[in-house]
Amino acid sequence: MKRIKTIVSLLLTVLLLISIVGCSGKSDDAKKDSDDKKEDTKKEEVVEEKAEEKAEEKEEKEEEKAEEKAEEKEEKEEAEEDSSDFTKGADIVAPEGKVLRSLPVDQKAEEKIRIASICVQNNPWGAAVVVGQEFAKEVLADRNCVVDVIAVKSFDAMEWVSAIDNCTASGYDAICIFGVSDELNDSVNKAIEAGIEIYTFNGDLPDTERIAWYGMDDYAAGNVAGEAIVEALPDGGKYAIITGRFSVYGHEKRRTGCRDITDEVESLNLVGEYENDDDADTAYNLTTDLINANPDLSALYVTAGGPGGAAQAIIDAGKSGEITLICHDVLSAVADYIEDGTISVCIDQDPFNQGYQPVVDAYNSLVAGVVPQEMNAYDAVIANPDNVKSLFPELYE
Amino acid sequence: MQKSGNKVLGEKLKYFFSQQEIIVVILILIIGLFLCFARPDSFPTTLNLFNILKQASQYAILAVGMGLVIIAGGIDLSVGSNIACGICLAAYINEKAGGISPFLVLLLIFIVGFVFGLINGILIAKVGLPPFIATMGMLSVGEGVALLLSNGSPIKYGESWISVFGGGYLGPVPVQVIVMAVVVILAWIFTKYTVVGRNIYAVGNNPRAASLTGINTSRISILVYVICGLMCSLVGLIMMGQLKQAGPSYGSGYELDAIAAAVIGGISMSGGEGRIFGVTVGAILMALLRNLFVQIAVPGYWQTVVLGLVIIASVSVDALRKHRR
Repeated sequence: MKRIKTIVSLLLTVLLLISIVGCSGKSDDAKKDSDDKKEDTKKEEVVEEKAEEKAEEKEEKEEEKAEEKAEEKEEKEEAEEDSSDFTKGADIVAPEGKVLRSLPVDQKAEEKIRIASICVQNNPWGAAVVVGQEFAKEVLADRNCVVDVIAVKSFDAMEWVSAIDNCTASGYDAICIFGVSDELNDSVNKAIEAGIEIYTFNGDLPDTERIAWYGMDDYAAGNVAGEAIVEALPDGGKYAIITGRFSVYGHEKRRTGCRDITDEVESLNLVGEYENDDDADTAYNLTTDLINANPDLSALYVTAGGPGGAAQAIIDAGKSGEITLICHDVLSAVADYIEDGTISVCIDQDPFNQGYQPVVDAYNSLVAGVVPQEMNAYDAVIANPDNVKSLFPELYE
Repeated sequence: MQKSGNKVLGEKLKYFFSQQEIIVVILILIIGLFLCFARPDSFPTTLNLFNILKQASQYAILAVGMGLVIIAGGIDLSVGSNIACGICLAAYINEKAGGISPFLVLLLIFIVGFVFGLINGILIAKVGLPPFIATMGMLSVGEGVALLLSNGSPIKYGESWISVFGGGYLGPVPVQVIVMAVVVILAWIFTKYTVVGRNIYAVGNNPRAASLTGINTSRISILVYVICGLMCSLVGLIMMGQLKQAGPSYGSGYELDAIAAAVIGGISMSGGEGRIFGVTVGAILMALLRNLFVQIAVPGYWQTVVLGLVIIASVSVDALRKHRR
C-alpha cells in the first residue's frame, strides 16, 4: 500500500512536473503571443497614426480646398463687383461722328496703371487729338487707370525729348507720343529700357522697340495730295507747297510724297515751298505773296496746320474756285472753307483715334497682355465740298 | 568859307549815313530795285507793295511797343501770348453769349492788353523781377489761358465792323497800313516832343541818374509795358479781322519778330537809344525779305538763314558803332 502510495505520489509529482514544464512552455507561447500582440498593437498604433495622419492630411487638404474654393468664390464675387463698377467695352458710347478703333478689355487693373499721352495742343489738329486722349482717359478712369494728357508747345524735337524724359522719370507704365522725328529715338529707347511701353501715333519711330504705331501713312497721304493736284491741273500749271516745318518727319513725308507724284508731270511747275510753322497768319501772308508773285497760281498744298489762313487769303484775293487748295484734317477751323469750295480736297487722318486708340491699346496690353498689331494704318478719308457734310455731320450742327 | 561849308555838309552827310535806319532804308531800296528787275511783272505792283506794307504793319505796330520797352531798358517776351489771350477771351465770350456788341469785343481785347502790360510793369518796376523772367512767366500764363479758353482750336468770330482793322481797305490802301501809320506818327510825337517820352530814353540810359533827376522810373517802366500791351491788342484786333477767327497760336513767336524789327531798325538792346522811324523801316525790311523769298522762290531752308543773317548784321552794326565811340 505504501508502495502504491509512493508510486502514485511519484506519478503525481511527475505529472506535476510535467504540468509545470508544460505550463512553463505554455507561458513562453503566451509570452510569444503577448509579444506578438504587442507588436501587433504597435503596428496597429502605427497604422492608426498613419491613418490619423492621413485623415488629418485629408482634413487639411479638404480645409485647403474649401479655403481655395472660398477664395475663388470671393475673387469671383470681387470680380463681379468690379465688373459692375466699370463700363464694359461693348457699352461704351463713342462721341458723335467718331468710331472707336479699339475697345478696352473688360478687366479692371489690379494695381493702378499710369499712362502718359503727349501731344501738341495749340493747333487744331493737336486739339482734335487731345479730344481722343481725353476720351480714353474718361473710358479708363473706372478701370483703375490714370491717363495724363501732357501738352508740348511745339514740334521742336528737344521739347519732345524733355517731355518723354520727364515721363520716364515719373515712372509711367506706358507713354503714347507723336513720333515727331528720329531725334526722339534715344529718349524712347531709355524709356523702353526702364520697362515702359511706348506707342507712337501720326509720326512713327520705326528704329525703336515701340510696341505699335497708329495713324495715316504720311507719305501715302502726300501721294494723295499730289494726285489731287495732277487731277485738278490736267493741262499743267503752277502750284506751291506750304509746309509746317521742314524738320518735322511727318510734314516732310507728306511734302516728299506729293513731290514724288507731281515731279513726274512735266507740265506742273512748282513755284516754291515755304514753312508756316502751323500758323494760320503766316499761311495767310505766304498765300497772299504767292498769289501776287504768281497771278496764274493754280494749286496750293498745305501739308500741316494753318490751312484756314491760306483759304482766307484765297478768298480775299478773289481767287476762290480758281486755285485748288489741298490740305489735311477736317476740323471746325476749315469746315466752312470746305463747304464753300475754297478748300477743294481735305485729307482726314482721324486725329481722334490717333489720340484715343494708342492709350486704350496700351491699357489692354498692360492689363490683359493683349498685344496690338504693330502697324495700324488708317485709310485716308477724302473730304470735298460735295461729301463733307455727310462725312462729318458733327461739324455742321 | 566854302571849305568850311563843305566840311559841315560832309559831316552832316557822314552823320546822316551813320544812322542805322538810313542804312536799312538803303538796303530796302536795293532789294526793291533788284526785285523790280527780277520780277518786273509781279513785284512793283500796287497790290504787292501794299501787301508788303500790310504784312509789315503787324510787325511795326508790335515793334513800336517793343521798341519803347527796349529803349526803357526792358524786354517783353509776352507779346505773342498777349495777342492770343486777348482775342481768344473776346471771341470766347462772344461765342458763349451768342454774339455781343463788336464794341465790347474791342474793349475786351484792349482790357486784356492793358492788364497784361500793367502786370508786367508792376512785376518789373515794383516787385523787382528781371524783365526777361517776368515777361517769360506772363508769356506762359497768357498761352495757357488762351488754350483753356479755346481748347486748342480757333474760335470763330466772323465779321463785324471791327473786322475792318484786319480786312478793310480805303481805296487800294489796307486799313491796317493806315493804323500802322497813325501808330508810328503818334509814337514819334510822343517820344520826340513830350517830356514823358524823353524820360523813357533817360530811364533806359541810366535809371539811377534818371531817378536822381526826379524822374519816376517805376512809372515810366509801367507805362512802356502798358503801351506795349495795348499795341498787342491792336495787332490781335488786326489778326482777328483778317482771319475771322481767334486761335491760341496766333501771335506765337511774334516776340522775336518784334525784337528783330526793333533791333534791325537801330534800337539798342542795352536801352536808351533808337528811333520809332527805325522800328518801322526794320519791320518793312522783314516783310520785304519774306516777300523776296516768295518772289524769287528762295529755297525753304535758306529763308531762315537769310533772316538770321540780317538780324546778326544789324546787331553787329550797332555793336561796332558803339565800339568806335
